[in-house]
Amino acid sequence: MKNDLRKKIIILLGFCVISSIVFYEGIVNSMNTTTYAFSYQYGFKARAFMGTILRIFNKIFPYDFMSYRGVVVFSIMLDILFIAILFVFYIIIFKNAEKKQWNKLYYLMIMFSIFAFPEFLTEENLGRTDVCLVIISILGLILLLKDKWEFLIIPLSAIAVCIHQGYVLMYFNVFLVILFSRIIERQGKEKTKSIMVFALSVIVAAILFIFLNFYSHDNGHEIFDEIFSTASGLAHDGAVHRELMMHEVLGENPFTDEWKYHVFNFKEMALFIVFFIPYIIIAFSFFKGCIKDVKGIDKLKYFAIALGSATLLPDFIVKIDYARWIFAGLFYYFMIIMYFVALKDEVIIKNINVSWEKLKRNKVLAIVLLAYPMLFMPLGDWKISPVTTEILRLLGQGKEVL
Amino acid sequence: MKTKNKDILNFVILVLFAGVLFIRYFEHRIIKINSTELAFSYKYGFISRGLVGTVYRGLDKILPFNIMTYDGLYYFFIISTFCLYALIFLFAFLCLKRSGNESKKGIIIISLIYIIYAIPMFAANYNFGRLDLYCLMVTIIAVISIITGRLEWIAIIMSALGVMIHQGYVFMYFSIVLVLLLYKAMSDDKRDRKKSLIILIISFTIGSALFLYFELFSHLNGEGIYEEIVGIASKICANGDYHADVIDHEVLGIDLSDREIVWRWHNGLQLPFYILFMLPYIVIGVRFFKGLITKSVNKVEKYKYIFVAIGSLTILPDMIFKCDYGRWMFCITSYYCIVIMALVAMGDKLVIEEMNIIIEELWGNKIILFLILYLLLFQPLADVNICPITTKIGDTINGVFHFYVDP
Repeated sequence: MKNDLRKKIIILLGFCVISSIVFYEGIVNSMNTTTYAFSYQYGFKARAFMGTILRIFNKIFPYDFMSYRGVVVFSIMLDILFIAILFVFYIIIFKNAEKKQWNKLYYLMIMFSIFAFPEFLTEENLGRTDVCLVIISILGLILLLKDKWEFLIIPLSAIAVCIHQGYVLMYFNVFLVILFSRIIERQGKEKTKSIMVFALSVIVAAILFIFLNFYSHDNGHEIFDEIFSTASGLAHDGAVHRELMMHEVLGENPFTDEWKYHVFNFKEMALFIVFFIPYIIIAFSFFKGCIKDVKGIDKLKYFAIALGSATLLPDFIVKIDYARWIFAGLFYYFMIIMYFVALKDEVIIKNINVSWEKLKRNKVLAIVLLAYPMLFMPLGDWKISPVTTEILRLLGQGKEVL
Repeated sequence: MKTKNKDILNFVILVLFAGVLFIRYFEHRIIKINSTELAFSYKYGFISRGLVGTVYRGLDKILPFNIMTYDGLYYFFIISTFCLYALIFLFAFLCLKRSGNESKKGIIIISLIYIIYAIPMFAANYNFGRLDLYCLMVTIIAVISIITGRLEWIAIIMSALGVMIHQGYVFMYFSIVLVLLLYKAMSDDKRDRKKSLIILIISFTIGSALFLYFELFSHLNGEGIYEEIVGIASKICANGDYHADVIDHEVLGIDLSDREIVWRWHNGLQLPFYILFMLPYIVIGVRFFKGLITKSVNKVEKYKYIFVAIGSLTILPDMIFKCDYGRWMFCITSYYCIVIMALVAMGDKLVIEEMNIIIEELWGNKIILFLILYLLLFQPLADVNICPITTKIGDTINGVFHFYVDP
């Protein structure tokens, strides 16, 4: 069993290394370098957590992290940490799950890895703080899987909101759905504990979200120039993302010209959905099966699992980074299903087996369904994928934004 | 009936996958070497690489609009590329139809592997419109005639056309036709043996004669036609920017070795890494052919499989004298994929048995999933540079050691 696990992980690791070489672009764009200019030296500001960590690194280590090169190195370190934690998660999943589920889990891991390995290596996302949100989410999942120190979800969520207040819409759903399912399943003290953790996580995250979004810009004008100068020093060519500065430091909303990007988003999203219809059908059939298999209050649990990604809807409506929201949605579904399989949830396992048997009937389809997402990699930020963007470009769409 | 429906479904899946693969890698651009070569035509005599240009000018005369422009060439190449893809699918479908139930999985997997290579190869700008695509077209037509046993003499004509399209055909794709004819010549059936041997000898003779002619004698009038060819090339290339080296080499017979030294550095840095990355497939290939050779019942069969195993070595002269390693890697891939599929379609029991053993083993430990996914990371194959990964690695190493400076 150990050998089998070792072989699976080594092969996946090899795939990760090659994948990283292919997709690594070595450039941190101005949006992401500007984020590192924010820090708690200016007060309790939105998105200042990672900038503060960067400054701590700069003080501790004999390397100039407060430079463009330093930001690139720091970003690479974060990506390596993400990959390492992802593999630790995979190993824990395997060790917790029944051996007969390993092939299905491996298939899911490979499929998620296709999206995950290149995600934070491209120019759009190298150094993006989303990587930290994902790391924290996986850490929390590991704790929940081990059923140890559940209360740590509260500070982890708090840190995540401090890193990027968008966390509450993007990655918080994984914790909330798992805690909610525990509230439904558990009894007595365990139930109370889960309710406390759920409630406190929500309250702390909500307070931080509201404060950082609406009340953290008080001395914005006083610190603007200093942060601007720092951001310029961190950028590749001195370029600072002005709109981000105005939004996060001054609390203004300069993103008024985004409607043309939204129009492009809607078209590209529609195309992306068309291309991924087979997966949507499989997922729909899977969740329908889960919900049908249970009665009473248990239905709530599986409804929550099925619809947990709905927290992304405000992002899809208000913000333009559709590729990031898609990745967050994929992260949610893959993580939550792997989590429940590892927990030996009977309903999830039964329906995974049903889907697997259907897939096994046509092995060619099974291989193609796995390989197909690779054609759409890497996911970008406001542009979803090279294939969908290219099709729209060919159709003469999005001329104003492309 | 169920099996037939499943075959059709799997085939449709491959076609749809190929469609998305094309969109992913298509760059909408013809690079200058590929457009310049269409300036050569038989108007100037029986010159090398003149066939496709002649066909193109013939089309220009027939059609009621001027296609001797970059845009005209662009659409011609799109149609040609789709014709090639259609032929590849026709070949795959034929092999699928002719194979027994026990071989269908293997055929589909090898088809998938070949599609992953072939679609991006001719969609990306390095090889979009390159004469190699016409060479591959004639090769597939010849292979289809050999497999079906119908109009096999077409292989002679296709071989000749292949060399007329590009004299490098003799090293690149000719081996596929020759090895299959040799295989058939060494087969049990006496009638097949004789017919195949005759076709093999005639094809080989004509191919060699044409190659020698184009290499040594077709440049005699080069100076006289040079300016006119440059004029045509300027019309059909983007922004009038034609590839001077290919005109110098093909029209004037100038040796380009000294101009290609930089590219040889690219080759030298990248090839070892490509071989390293392709080791899993090389190991599988060696195992496959070792199985065939050791299980052969007699000496004739043994030599038959040895020839099949080493048939791709005809690419060696290209690797020694020419720098387009991306194209040579594609030739090697094409050789093994097409030949193995053809042998399965021809009902070779040992090939089928060995293929199934390997596929079942790979399937059992799920390695087959990675073997397919992994290939996608190495696309598209290019020309001088092998593929994006080896290009990156080569450039990184050169960044440290400064072996060469790109022109």
